[in-house]
Amino acid sequence: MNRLKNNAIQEGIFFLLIGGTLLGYSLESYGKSFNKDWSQSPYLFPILVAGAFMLLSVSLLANGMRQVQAEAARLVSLAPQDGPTALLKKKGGAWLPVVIVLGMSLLYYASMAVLQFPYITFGILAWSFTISTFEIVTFVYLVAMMLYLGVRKLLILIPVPLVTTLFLSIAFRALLHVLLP
Amino acid sequence: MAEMLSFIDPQFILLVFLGSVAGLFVGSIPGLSVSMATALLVSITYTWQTTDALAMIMGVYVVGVFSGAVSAILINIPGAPSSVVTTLDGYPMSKKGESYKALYYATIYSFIGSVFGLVALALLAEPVSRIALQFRPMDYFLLALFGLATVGSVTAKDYTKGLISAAIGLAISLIGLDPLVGTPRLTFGVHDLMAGISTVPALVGLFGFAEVLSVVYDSGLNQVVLTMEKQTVRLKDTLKHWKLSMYTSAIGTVIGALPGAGGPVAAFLSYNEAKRLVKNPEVPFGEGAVEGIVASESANNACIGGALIPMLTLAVPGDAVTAIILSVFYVHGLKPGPMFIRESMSSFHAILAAGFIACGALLLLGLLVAPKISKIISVPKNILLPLVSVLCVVGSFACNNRLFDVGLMFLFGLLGFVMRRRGYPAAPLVLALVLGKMMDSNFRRAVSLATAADSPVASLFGHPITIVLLVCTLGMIVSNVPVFKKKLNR
Repeated sequence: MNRLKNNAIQEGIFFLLIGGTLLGYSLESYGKSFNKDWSQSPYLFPILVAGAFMLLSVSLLANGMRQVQAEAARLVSLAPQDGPTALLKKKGGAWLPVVIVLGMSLLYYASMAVLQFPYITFGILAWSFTISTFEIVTFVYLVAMMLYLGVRKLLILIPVPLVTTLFLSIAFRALLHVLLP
Repeated sequence: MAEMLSFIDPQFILLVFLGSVAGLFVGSIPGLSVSMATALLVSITYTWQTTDALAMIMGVYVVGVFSGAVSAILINIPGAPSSVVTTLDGYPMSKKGESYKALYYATIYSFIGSVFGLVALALLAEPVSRIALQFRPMDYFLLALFGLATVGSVTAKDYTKGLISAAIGLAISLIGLDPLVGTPRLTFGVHDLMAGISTVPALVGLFGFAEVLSVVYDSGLNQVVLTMEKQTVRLKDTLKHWKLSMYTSAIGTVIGALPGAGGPVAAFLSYNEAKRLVKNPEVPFGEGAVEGIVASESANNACIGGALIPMLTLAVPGDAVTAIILSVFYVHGLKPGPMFIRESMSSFHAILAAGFIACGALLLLGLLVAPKISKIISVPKNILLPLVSVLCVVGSFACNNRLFDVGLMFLFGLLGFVMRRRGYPAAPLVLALVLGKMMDSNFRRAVSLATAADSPVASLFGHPITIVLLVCTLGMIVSNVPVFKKKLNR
């Protein structure tokens, strides 16, 4: 069981499965395909990649085994008062903010895909400027992200998202004629 | 020389400069590529004189390739795949408050690389194109494989992890219609996957959004403000690395002349050479070594001249931008090919003159703009991170105008974040994604040719260039196997 806790062994097994799946997919697709000439087959190169995955995962597994053996030898040589926990302590990061930032970004993405605000065009002489879903959703996303990341000054919280959104909109939509989400 | 000087008139210079400003803008914004800008210019310059059109396009091309380094250094999002290598040392320098120094080095050595490539174009167009013609499908496959084997060793502490990252990139490049017969692979009925995975969402996600997640993970919700060091960078100190620059520029020119290989391969190979040659850098490679920026920027800018060589002498474009420039030639009734330089001398000189003027514009814009925009790193992270996230979204959408690519960008961001945590470098994945389709088609072409030959093995591996590349690739892999590595280090 200790071996399965080793990162290299976990990754080795994972990539072995990826390689195996790719190999299985390629062989099955080749079997179903009309063209049976391997040199022309679109599944020749995937098999090569699958082979590379499998070889490399074996190397990872071997690394992992060596690490486990070395770790076991170190644990044996350690004095009892040091204990194995001394070796296992690692510096961790904050997972919750990552999950929340990812969630907010996905919500931003989903709202761009689902929401449809009408196009509002402002005209100044011969120049016009349009705002729609992207501008509104981006402004809200920027404010929400900044609030979550600890920005509290109103002088930053409103103007920065507003100016950024307008800059992107004008630069891309109006000047470069590049579509925005 | 006199013919080139005849192009020095205010209108010509102004057009090159306008193109250079546009290049600086599109190159430094992820998602807006130089090829996209050049393609837009084809329609704008359709009715112009050929020399005017070439002036503007060369301005965009030369400065656009350089400006990919700006976002790579400041926010860890390479403007183009060829700037990926610049992030390896450029971004760590920015984190230490040395963004101005990094941008200064990038400007100077992009200038040197660009000039080197253009001089090579002027003097060596014929012999270099002759070498490029000798490359067979197996050679292209092995060159790409050599690039991947090299990048694995230069970007990861654990070579196996570097290669696995490359294998992931190759597997992702398989998604979509296969390049030779158009069979859908690994699409699982998803219509949006038919066109394959674009490089831009992958690049933006793996570097930009992954960076956002990593900073949030490492610092939690604590305010992080990077301080800028007030530095005076002396030209004399900067130019200390001119020998390395010349060497890596030569690599860039030759690799640039090989269709399909281009800037990313040249930059990675040059970075590897820099690591091999510079034994004791002041700062270790990957932690802010200026030599890394010197190698990467010299090589990817020298590719400009290199890529133009086969385009002008063989009508074979070396990269996407030269393919578009080729279309400009046809639009204006010019015929690139073996007789081009003799028959259309004025157009050839217009390209060279515009290229050299664009190099001057690069230097000017880089040195003027670098101190201003390098201040971006002193913006507090809790303001910068949301802005970078939105830039990632806009950049990934702009490449194909598909919201699907934005979703892919987030997916790649998460993948990049997990890979960083587990010690897998993202750079080999990007390079493999860029080269995957080229490797696939050339490998199958090589195998097809070999099966029709009397001696398949000799057909595959009997060519001198093939033998050299095979030996180099195997040597690179074997020298990184721990047992052999220990022996070599002794």
